[in-house]
Amino acid sequence: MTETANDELRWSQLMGNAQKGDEQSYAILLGELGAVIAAFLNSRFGPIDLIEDCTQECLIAIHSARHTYDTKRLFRPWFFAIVRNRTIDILRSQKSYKTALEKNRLGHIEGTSSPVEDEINKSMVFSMLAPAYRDVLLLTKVAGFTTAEAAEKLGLSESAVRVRVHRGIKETRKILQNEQVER
Amino acid sequence: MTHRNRLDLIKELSTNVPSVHPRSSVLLPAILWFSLSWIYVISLSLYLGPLRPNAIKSLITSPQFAFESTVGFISGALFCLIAFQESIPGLRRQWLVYLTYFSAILWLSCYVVGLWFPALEPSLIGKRAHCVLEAYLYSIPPLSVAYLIIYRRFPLNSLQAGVLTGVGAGMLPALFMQFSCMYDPQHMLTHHIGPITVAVIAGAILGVVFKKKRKLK
Repeated sequence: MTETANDELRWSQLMGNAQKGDEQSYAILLGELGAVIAAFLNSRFGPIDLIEDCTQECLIAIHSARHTYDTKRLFRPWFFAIVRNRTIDILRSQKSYKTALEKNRLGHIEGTSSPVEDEINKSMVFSMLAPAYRDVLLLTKVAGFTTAEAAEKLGLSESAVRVRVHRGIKETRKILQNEQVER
Repeated sequence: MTHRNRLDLIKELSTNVPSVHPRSSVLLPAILWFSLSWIYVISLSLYLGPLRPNAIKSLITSPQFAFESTVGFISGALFCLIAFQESIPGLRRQWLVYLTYFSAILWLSCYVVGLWFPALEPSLIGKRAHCVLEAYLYSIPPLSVAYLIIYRRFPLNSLQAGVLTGVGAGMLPALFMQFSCMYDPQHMLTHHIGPITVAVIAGAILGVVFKKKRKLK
């Protein structure tokens, strides 16, 4: 039996037990899922500050949705549907807040680049996004710049930045949805 | 944003975790809702007025009429199914969504074609004075019930679930008016299919309101 199939079976059983109120199974399950979510997001978005927040929000969503899991169905499609959806929701609602990345000032906009930024740029989602969308998402959602600040840096109008953010998130959703998660 | 420790969160979520009654089935509630909604629409419609004379007989005498009615019925059932599928994460099947959209386009096309080649001779026989209002009356209660059932599961995209439910609920009266109101494809498009947009808007509002409610929880 492959590792994926093993996980599938174990998570399904653990969730079945959790639905019956088994605390220990549930704690084990959430612990394992938390690690998987963090690794999943890290490989898709790079080391952005949002990952821990996203992971915890996804765990809360899984907790709220646990009554909709059917042990006769596969666990991973159910699980990853929640993770993808919550991630996009969080990315969309992400307000401007300063992160460690801001200190790096997203150098490529200013002609230099930092190791953290390189890693983010190489991440699956950001590398697949068109440069126009990638820049606005990195500035507004990762580095925490306001729309006005991002517009000034990119030499665009605020409305153009808003449109690009909206389209960028739509593209991100497509990238995540089209991805073939091992089932 | 959260800045707590993940282990604390897991401990918090798993301590005294209550047992839950799984609500993971979709087909059964969808069939139940669809059947009961039809009973509601037919009963209320017959209470408020009779069927158009020879409306049922037209199903046999006019294959085109039978075809557009059948396509509409299938499309309504498919919308109901995909709306309920939205309530369970990961259950949505894209091919089914495409099939549903295709059936809806085919259904609408029947009436557009009918503007030039109507299935039955257009006439005012059986006209209901307030068919548009009746359409709202028949669609809003089933819509609210359906959305409540969906909300009690876990729709990841509340707005989409609301819109799909709105289309499904709005199609019920539109289809039945085919038999209980006058036959004229133009009247069908403007007075029976047109009100579906109101059901869709109502569904979208329910989706947004319930999404906010869930966030507050």
